[in-house]
Amino acid sequence: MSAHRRTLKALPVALVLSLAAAACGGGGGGTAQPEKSGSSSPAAVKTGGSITYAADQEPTGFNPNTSKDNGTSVTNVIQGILPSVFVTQPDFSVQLDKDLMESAEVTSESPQTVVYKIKQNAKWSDGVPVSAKDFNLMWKAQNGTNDKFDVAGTTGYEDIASVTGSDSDKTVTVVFKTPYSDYKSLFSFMPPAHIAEANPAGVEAGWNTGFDKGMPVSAGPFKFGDFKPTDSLTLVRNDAYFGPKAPLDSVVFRFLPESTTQPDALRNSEVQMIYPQPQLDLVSQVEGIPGLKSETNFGLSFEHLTFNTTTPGLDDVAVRKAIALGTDREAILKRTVAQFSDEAKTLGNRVYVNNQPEYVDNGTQYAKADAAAATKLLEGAGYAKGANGIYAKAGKPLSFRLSTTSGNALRETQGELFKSQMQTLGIDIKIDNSPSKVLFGERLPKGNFDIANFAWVSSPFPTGNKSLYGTGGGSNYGKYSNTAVDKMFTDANAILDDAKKAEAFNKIDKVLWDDMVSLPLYQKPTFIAYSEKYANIGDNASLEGPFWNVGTWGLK
Amino acid sequence: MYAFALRRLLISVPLLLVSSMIVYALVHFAGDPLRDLEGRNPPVPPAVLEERRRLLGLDKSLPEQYWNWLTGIVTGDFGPSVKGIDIGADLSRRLGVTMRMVILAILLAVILAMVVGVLSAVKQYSGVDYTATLLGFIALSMPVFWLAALLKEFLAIRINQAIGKTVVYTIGESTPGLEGGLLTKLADQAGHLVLPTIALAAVNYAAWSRYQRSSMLDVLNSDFIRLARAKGLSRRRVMVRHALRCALIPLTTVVALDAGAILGGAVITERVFAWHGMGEMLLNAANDQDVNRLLAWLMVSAVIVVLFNLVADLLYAYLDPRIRYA
Amino acid sequence: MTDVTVPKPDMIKADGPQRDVSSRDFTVRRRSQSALVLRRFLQHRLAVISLVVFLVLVLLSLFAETWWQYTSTTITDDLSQGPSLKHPMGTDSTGHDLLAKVLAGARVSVLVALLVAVLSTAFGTVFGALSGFYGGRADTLMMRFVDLILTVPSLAILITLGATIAGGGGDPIVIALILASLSWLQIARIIRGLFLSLREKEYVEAARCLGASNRRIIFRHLLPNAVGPIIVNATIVVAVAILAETALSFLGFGIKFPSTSLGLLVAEGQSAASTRPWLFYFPGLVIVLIALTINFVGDGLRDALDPQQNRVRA
Repeated sequence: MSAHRRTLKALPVALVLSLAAAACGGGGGGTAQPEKSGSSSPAAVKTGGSITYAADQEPTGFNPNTSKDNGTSVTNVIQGILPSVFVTQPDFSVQLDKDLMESAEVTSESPQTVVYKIKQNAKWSDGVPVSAKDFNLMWKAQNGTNDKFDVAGTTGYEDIASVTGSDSDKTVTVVFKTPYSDYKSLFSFMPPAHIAEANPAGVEAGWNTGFDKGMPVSAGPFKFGDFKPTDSLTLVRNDAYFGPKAPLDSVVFRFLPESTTQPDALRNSEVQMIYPQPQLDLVSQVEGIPGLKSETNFGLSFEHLTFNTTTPGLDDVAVRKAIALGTDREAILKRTVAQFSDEAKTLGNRVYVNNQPEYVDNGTQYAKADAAAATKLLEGAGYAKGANGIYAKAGKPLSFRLSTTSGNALRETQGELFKSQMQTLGIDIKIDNSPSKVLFGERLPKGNFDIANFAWVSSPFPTGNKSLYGTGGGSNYGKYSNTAVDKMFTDANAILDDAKKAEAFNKIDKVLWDDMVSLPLYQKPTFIAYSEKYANIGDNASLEGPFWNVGTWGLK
Repeated sequence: MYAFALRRLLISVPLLLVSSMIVYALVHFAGDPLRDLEGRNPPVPPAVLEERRRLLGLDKSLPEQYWNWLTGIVTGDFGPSVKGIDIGADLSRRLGVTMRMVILAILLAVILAMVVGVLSAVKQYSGVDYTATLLGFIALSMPVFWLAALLKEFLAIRINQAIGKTVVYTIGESTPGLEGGLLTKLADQAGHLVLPTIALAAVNYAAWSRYQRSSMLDVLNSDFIRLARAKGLSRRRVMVRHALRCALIPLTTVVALDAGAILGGAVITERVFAWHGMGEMLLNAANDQDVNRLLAWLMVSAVIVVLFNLVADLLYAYLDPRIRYA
Repeated sequence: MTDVTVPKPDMIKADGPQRDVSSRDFTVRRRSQSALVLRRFLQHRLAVISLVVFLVLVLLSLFAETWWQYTSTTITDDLSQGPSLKHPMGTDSTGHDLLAKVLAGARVSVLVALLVAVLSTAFGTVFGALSGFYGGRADTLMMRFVDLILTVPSLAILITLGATIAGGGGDPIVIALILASLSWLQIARIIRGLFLSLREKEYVEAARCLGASNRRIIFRHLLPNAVGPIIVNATIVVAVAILAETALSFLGFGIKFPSTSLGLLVAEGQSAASTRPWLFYFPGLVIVLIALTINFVGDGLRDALDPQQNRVRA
């Protein structure tokens, strides 16, 4: 519902077992030694056993490429079932799924051509090979030419000119009309084309609603077991899987919508693993339960303030900069996420987060709150403090609404702190929150806000930022417009070399700081806790989520 | 008898019509239920949104939408859900879960109210009476969710610690994937039922025991009881056969009248104990602006309330021989 | 501290219906009905204590700024501290003093409940009075309407209204209006029943013979006789409304930030019940205390106003 969920498709949310592939193979009898985190091989585990996970939401269906099912409740389940070409690792690098693919290579830059080679033994659990037909359906459904397909987005696929199969459909050649540098984000969670096409109501119905009740076949370590709506969903080992067999017999998703009940459920052993939004009490409660392992990570989503650059007052870059200088982000951290994670830091980049290798702190001059500098900026821009302590120019006081998602305790606290900091500076803030549905569905798109606090999701695929900061971009809620930045985006989005691309995007971010489009606050933590009887469970704080390597989980 | 039952059901039809219309209009004017799909990044193609609106019937005018819903509901079709849920199937699953708790809670509350009410009436102004009154007032003044948390913290955890294993559960209506025979499953369900039932029963018990007390007092002061005693009937016989039977009539009315409130209370208890019943459905539907799911809840609840009233009417006939339903 | 809390006898006397007979010359000291009621109420010790406690609570919360050093928006440097002399109810993770928040929450909760009571009593009384006074087909129709609404689970309606009308804003006034829209049914039924019997009384006929208009009969002759049940019912509505507001806020369909209420505070403290218990138990206790005192006051009023159910004599 938040921006977190909305940008899901921008990433290659994928299941991959490239780590498993690096192990000795075999069904759970591997003896590989653990290495450094990020590229560790799975630890040796026993075959058999089951794990129950507390899912906060029930999946609405099982094709995450549709607008209806595009959410983490669906992707968590489907990670172990549907094949994806690339997978984002816990260190945010993007790697090929070597169980599924031989290779995926760019063979030409003009026109951009990518050749995908699928493993010969890669097949669905009913024996049908994973083939160019599956790639073709992904493209056909999501290229935006057929309105009958329900899709979450068309990004990337709309740039493709053709998808051709050869070598008995085990080689797929994708030719692009317009270059798309984030091609690695494509072909994630491919549903079985042969099932969708066999739908009596047509392939569109097969794609849209054909997987609502379940996923009949699998090309991953697990397959669909039993779905008891409102209660639980069980995945069982896919014995026909072409990669290393999963050690666990089954994975149970138990639906527990109230995250406050999750610690109790852990303590009672009603579930063995939780992945809730971290919160002070929840974290301290879980840490007090014996026999558990838990870790806090920092994921790709980050909190920030977006300024509406068309609001009178905020259209003045000096005011925006003064607000940024007057905001004590350290103090906000101290009273929010830093209470349960001492590693929380302020964020100095809009494109990359602190623990991405491409990260550079581009906002050093805002690192510490500087009231004197803020005052100087305001007074230099012609504002004078009125009798009520609020700055005003030409009789117009600086008074803005701050809007965020109502009912979110963390953001409400942030709002309160921001309000009091601005009060000290001499800017009046009125709190004007809305439910996330209204905020994201109405107010932000319609520009009905002054300052908004919500989260954006950074990604290894930065091209999506154009719609956030480019002129007329669909998610450019602040109506920021700078033709130089537009040009920089167009250029950067065509760069296929990763290092050069990162450099170009960091340059863009510097300009965004100079124009103070938005103020990044901090990277959001993720929290995972599980019974210490299990091995190989670990968070993937990118949007892959904790189920990215479910095929390696097992009992010690 | 059947004619009577039918008449009762028919009386509630105008109510259902009016309230469904109001709910339909309210949800309609609250905004587009699919708006959270708009403004996503990357954007959902407008054509996709249009198609989904068409499937949900959102492209039609309000009266048309309502008419479609109405003609559907008559044939047992609850209509499409914003979240793509099969409402009928979902409802039938949840109904059993909730009714299990509601009926048990009503039974518990009624029995407690009868015992306490009668006791404090018979021993008016005694220590028992005052204690019962005080406890009743406290239960009446306690938010259900707060009481539920107290039960969790102090009752469940203590009992489980004393026994050394989990017998009283704090989450959900049953343990998923439980292996074992019918007896194991029943025991498991019972363990899950304890706390929610107590929480839901407490509030109603408080009000009902007050009613029971005062109606029992009225009966005890009436002439026919004095006559029965004067005739030489034992005190016990007078109490049980004559006084209690009469004093139960007002209680029956109150319980039937409160049926709606109990269903409402179940919404909160289900939320606190993470049950997947009708209450969860209502809350989710309200959050999703899923009008068809909201209305499905309302229709089913209204039928339940009518049924409760029907049972109450039948009980009158049993308790008061003068009443006959032709 | 008690002198503020008990209404003075002559204040109450003024609206008693029997004041016209005052100039008669009796040897026995005259006792108006209101004085009798007051006397009976004062004998109900628990009710009096409750009234005092409730009024003290209301005054403390209304004038919180004058006697307590923190306000609900003060941000202190004490984060998540347990109860101490400096912060009798502890602090939350932002650094708010919980006592200040509870006082602010109580103020909103009580004001909402009082508003609900006033609105629903006014509307319900008029509705019931008209229905009972005119009787006939209008009465049947109006009462059928009330019966029908009473069978719908009110919480469902409240949730729907909270999710739609309140639009997530959670303004206390809107929440009060929503609650009031369903709270008038009980009083309407009671008043209607009362009026059905009262309108047959001889003095009504007498008034009519003297040419009194319907309006005059309703408001000058009938209504004063219904004051007892109205007051008792209004008291109960206050208690019910407090609980309904907290339930609604707890479920997320009621009052929202930046407003606060006791229900919202309990909802926020829910996750802290076992780690920072003060955040959960103090606001909850205050809710219980308020609802309990109001219920006792209501009980005392009922006993005092309804001589037939006379508990005081024992």
